[in-house]
Amino acid sequence: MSDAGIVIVGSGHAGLSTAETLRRRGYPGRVRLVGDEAGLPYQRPPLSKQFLKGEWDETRLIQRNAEFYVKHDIELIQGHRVIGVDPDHYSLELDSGEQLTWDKLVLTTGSRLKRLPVPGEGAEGVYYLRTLAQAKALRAALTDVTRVVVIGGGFIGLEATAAFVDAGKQVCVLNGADTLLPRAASALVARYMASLHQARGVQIENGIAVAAINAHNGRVLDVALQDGRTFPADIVLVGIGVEPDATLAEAAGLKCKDGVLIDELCRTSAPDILAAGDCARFRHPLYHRLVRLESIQNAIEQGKHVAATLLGDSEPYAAVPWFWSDQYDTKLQIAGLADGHDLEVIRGDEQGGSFSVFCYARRRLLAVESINAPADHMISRRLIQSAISPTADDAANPNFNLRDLL
Amino acid sequence: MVKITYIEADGRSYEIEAPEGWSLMEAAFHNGVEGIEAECGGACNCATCHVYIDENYLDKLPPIGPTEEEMLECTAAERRPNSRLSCQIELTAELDGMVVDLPETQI
Repeated sequence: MSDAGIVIVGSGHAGLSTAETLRRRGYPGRVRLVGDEAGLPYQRPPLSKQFLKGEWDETRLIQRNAEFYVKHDIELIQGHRVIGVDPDHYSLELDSGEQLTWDKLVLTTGSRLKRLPVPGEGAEGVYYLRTLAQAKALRAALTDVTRVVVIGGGFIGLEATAAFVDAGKQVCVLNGADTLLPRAASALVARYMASLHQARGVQIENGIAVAAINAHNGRVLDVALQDGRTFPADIVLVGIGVEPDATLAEAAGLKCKDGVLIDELCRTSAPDILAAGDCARFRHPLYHRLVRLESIQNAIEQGKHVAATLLGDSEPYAAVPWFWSDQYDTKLQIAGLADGHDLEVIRGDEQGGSFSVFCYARRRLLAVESINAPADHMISRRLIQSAISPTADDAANPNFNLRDLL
Repeated sequence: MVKITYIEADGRSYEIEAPEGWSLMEAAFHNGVEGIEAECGGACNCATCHVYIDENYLDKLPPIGPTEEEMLECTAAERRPNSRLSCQIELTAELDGMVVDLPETQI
């Protein structure tokens, strides 16, 4: 082994988790963390919540302070994009032209925004939200606008909607799917979240298709749908999801399939190249299928896992995926993956705003979505991790203590 | 600035100064205190920023809210009378000098 050590490409949650874990667990070699955004690595979740609302300033988003990287000898190469990886020569090239060599490479390249493929998408006043720079631009734009159109009914669109409403804006959500949170939540939870927003005056249009964003003098005027309706907008936020950023891996000849394919130890098809986080697709042992997760939990835990593999001390990755979303004063927490469920069982008080939806497939518990019911969420994570499925009757019975099953 | 001392389960300690208004979790996380995981970044979603508070300061803290109460029942290390989730505690001048013990595990 040379002294090139480990290079991590992508300084989001997965990349940082990898670097930190390597040091915490005593890796003695060189650790370099390359990120395409300038500045210290930061947390993304608050961008659409506390930061957008103006409750937090930029310094509170920073993950670890500058001294941390010095103290732990983690070399940050920020503000540089990697433009190519050469697996045969164990090298990569930065956009500055600099070449780095590595003994082990970790790809934590994350995901990138899907762009709305309609005319006018580039007009002034149209925003996307993934990076700090984008969040700053959006936050600054909010000061003198009244009407906001949000395109997309996923987590980002709805969290931003809540922030806009709190800031006194009129908001209309144009959602391509037939329900909100189509990829993330059960029909019951989607309906509940819709009612939260509607009760605050948000207009929600499901099942729509955007035809164009009309502009006047280059600045957004309204959003036109294919059915002929138009929705006036001072600004537009597009939140129609992300796709894995696997460009480098594909170009380097690594096996990819809507993400970089990794095994249970986070190894890609190329020797000495590993991957983790949003960019990676893997067979989940609890769900027996290939999954790719867009979640902080997965990014952090898979990052730790990559580090363990690099140190020769890893077990197959089997963590229960979990997610959360805070909108207004409501806390949505999701444990597990509900895709393919055939039964939804409610536990708790839907009217009272504190309940959980247990999602089953053939009597097996796949996922639990909790609204203002954090204890349900925490217990559910343990149930799913242990492959324990309460009966539908027990799940629905508030007097049945789910902890008794553990 | 508010000065807090965090003591890891293995005895290592960190003296940290952080601005008023930050949370007890953020001050630790920002400075790389290992015994705090804070997977959710401070949204009271993960119970991995569990701490044991110096008894002398307990009554200076905001009361435990309903979400924190439920999450405290789900911590990885045992809950004690002085257990709190550090993301739910805002640093104030009154907390200057507080000592916080960290549990052996958060996960």
